[in-house]
Amino acid sequence: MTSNPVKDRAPHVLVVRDLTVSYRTAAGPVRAVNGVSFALRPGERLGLVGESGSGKTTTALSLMRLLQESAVIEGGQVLLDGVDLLGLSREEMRQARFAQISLIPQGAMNSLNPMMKIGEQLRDTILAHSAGSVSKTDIYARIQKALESVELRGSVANSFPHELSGGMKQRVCIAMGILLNPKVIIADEPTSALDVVVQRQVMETLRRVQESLGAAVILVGHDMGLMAQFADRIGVMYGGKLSELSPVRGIFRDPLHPYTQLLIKSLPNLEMKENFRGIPGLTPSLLKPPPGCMFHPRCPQAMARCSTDIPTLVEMKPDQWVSCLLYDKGQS
Amino acid sequence: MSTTTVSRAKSDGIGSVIRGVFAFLGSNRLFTTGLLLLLGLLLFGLIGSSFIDIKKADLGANPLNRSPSWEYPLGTDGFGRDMVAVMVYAIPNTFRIGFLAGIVGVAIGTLVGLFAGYYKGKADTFFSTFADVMLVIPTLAILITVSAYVRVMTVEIMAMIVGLLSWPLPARVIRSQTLSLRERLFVDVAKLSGASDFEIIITQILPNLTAYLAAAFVGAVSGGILASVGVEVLGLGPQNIPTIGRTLYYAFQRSALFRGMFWWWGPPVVTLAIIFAGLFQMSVSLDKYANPRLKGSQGS
Amino acid sequence: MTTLLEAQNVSRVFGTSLLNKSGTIAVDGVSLVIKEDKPTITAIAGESGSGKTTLARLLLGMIRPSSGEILYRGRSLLGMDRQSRDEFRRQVQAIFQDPYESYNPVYKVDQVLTLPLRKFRLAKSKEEGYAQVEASLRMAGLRPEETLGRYPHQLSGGQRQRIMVARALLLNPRIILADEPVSMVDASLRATILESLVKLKRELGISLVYITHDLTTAYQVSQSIYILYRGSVAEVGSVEKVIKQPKHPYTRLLVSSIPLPDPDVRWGGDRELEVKSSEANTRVTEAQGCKFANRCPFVMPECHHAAPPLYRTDDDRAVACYLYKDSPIVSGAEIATSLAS
Repeated sequence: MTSNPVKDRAPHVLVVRDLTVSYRTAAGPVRAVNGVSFALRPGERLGLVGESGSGKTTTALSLMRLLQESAVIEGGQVLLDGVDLLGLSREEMRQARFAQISLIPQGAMNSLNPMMKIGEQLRDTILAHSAGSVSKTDIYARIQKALESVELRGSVANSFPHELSGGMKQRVCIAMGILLNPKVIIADEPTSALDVVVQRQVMETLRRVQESLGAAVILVGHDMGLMAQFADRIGVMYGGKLSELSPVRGIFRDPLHPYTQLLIKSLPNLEMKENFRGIPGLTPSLLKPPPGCMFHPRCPQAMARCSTDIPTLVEMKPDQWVSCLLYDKGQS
Repeated sequence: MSTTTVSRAKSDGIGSVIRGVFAFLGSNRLFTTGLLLLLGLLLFGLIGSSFIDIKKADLGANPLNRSPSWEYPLGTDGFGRDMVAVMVYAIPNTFRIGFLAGIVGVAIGTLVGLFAGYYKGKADTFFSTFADVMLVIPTLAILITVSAYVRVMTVEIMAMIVGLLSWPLPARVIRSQTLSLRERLFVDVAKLSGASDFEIIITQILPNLTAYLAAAFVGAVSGGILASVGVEVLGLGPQNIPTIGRTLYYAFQRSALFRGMFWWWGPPVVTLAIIFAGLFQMSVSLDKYANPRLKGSQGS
Repeated sequence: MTTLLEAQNVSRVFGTSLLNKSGTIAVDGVSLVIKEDKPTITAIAGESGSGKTTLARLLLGMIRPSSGEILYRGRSLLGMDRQSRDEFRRQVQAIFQDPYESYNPVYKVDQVLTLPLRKFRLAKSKEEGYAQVEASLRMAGLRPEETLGRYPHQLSGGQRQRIMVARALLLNPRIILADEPVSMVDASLRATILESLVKLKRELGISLVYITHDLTTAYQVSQSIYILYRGSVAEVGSVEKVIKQPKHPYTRLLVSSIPLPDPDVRWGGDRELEVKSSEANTRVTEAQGCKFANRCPFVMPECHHAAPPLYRTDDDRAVACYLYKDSPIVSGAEIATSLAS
């Protein structure tokens, strides 16, 4: 049993090792991501789940090196096909973005330039990442193909963002994300502003598109239902750490970490009315984190050593990793 | 502990604003520099005028045309006025005009802007059109016209006129901010808590406008000083008290420039430069707060 | 049984002016009833553009209907005398969706509790008032010493929303409109807040109108539900029937789009339903006919001629769809009253 979920199996497209990110705040440094490791295979769909303050968005943005000024990547590696993205120069990283690893950001619909036509914005993305010159016909063809793949009519290229509905704009953002055939797509809560019917359609579009591209997807969010429908594997984040990393069925049928268990129990369902099982307590302060395990103040199964020892990610069952002292008999 | 929390909460509207002001000063160097420049100048004037007799600034009180010396650090002008005495009294006067005009303009403008923006409808249309028309009227022209009719032009009259003419600009800014603030959710919550329209305007909306009020005030003060100096330089301002503009008027009348009497036209010009530099610094640094793109006026 | 709050066939149009005769119809002929003696939780569900928020504001008396009336204890809100208006204001309260925007950033969070305390004269003395504030905070699961005296940005979204629940407890109204009260709150806290809302009904006899787009929590929390589509009631009835056995094609579409937290069930599980056009084109205003016609997989010619009335398919359910035209027609007011009793 290794304590690192990154095995040396050849075909991992993305390997994250011990990623640690802090924010400089007026009150002191805040460690938003604390030694996160995971690996992604080509075409795999990983759901990164957590509540506010869990570090899921910071993790996703770190992979793209799109963090705010106040954020510092303190350590770790992000290997995309063997190349450490954290070690690239700024220009090299800029080239890698959208071409190798792309992002569909939160509220993507609002990140479209309202003054430019859709086609122009897509064209700019292509041009920004082409080393040589690309012919006009080539650009046009790629734009049409991208729009088609997200089930939008080619005429959308001639529209302005305000002429499109929310779901259509989101699909344009997906199109932009896949325009350059990246190997990894990070989708940061891509449907949070959309209605439930449109959400389903956009997620199904995203799925079709990534399957045909063979790209891996990291879906960041807090909607467990959405994760159940979309992800192959789920990583549950709490207090800046990965508390559990398992295939989706494992998470829902047989959650190992007490936090995951409580989370699954708290999900509202259509089977039973008035089934309210929230998790008592508050999310941990990252400024003054609790000693030992981040979850122990709220954990119904906390033991004495949970307030002193820090658990690490351990493979309990095949491919099911959990970071909890309940399963860690051997560690000191 | 119990009673203090509730009673602290009662006065937190004003308390929080004051604390906010000091926090603001600490983190905005440019603003504080500008403010200190102005305060320094004002202090010079106020302290100086308590030491120096105003009679020294009278015509003929001293020997004429003396260049700067130990006795007269800024010399005397063509009328025998001790320039130090003149400046020391003129500076507070100028500030008074600017300040009064600023207060009048911003007070009227805020009232109009708040109520027009909150109630909308016909009253708003009327006041907005009225404000737009007034914006086009040149303040200087009105001032000149009025001073031609008034026998004795005082600082107060001038300040009032400038103030009455300068309310449209603050009114527009405050109105547009009120229009957006009235839609905020906390206004709805206050309504549900039984607050009347008037209470909402004064206690919910107004405290969120501090940045705009500050910016509008700085603007109104500079406008006031500019307008009054403009009138004074033409010889139409107050005659019996030392003012910066009138000093320049005399200086030009007596060709101080050609006669090389730099101590006559110099101090007023330098003072004006300092005043406007200070005001400019303050208004530029306020710009990033008064810019509507930013949400809210306080908080991290 | 006295009717506490009633919407009588209300409509609300936005955007009409001298130059623009046709605006958007946000709420189109909706009737809703809440009775006094039977505390109940009624859900109003719909997506964006359904008119649910506008309906909430109409019920709160914050905007006026373009047609129809809102009645409080049988009296129309328009032209109410001062005293009745004050009573209405006191007895009908709300909890809003955004726990940050609900607070004025200039003031400490205390203000949200002390202002209504003062305006409604709920306490005879400062000490009593303070005791009431503390008690209501505790009932909402908060510690007064950790919440009072703080500014909104110093507290978490969950804490702020709980303060809003405390405020509702403090005011002890007859009706609370909760507009998406948990959609901006963390998952682990949602259940707790929803539970406290249900407690309001159970222990204090307060009726709730729960406005949401989340059918799952609507099912958890409410007894009856109104499904709104572009301002009209598509389906209304007991939450058990409407959500477990939806009849209106739109309701079926909604239910089938719910991402169920079960990896082995694809979305809502209703495989039969395939939708023609992907989204509601809100720019096209259907002049006549059913508003859902252009997206409905079961559309018939008559759907384009006139909007369907409500057909009472069950004792406690009505559907506005020609598929059920064999059932008796019922007015919005009738079914609303029946559900409330």
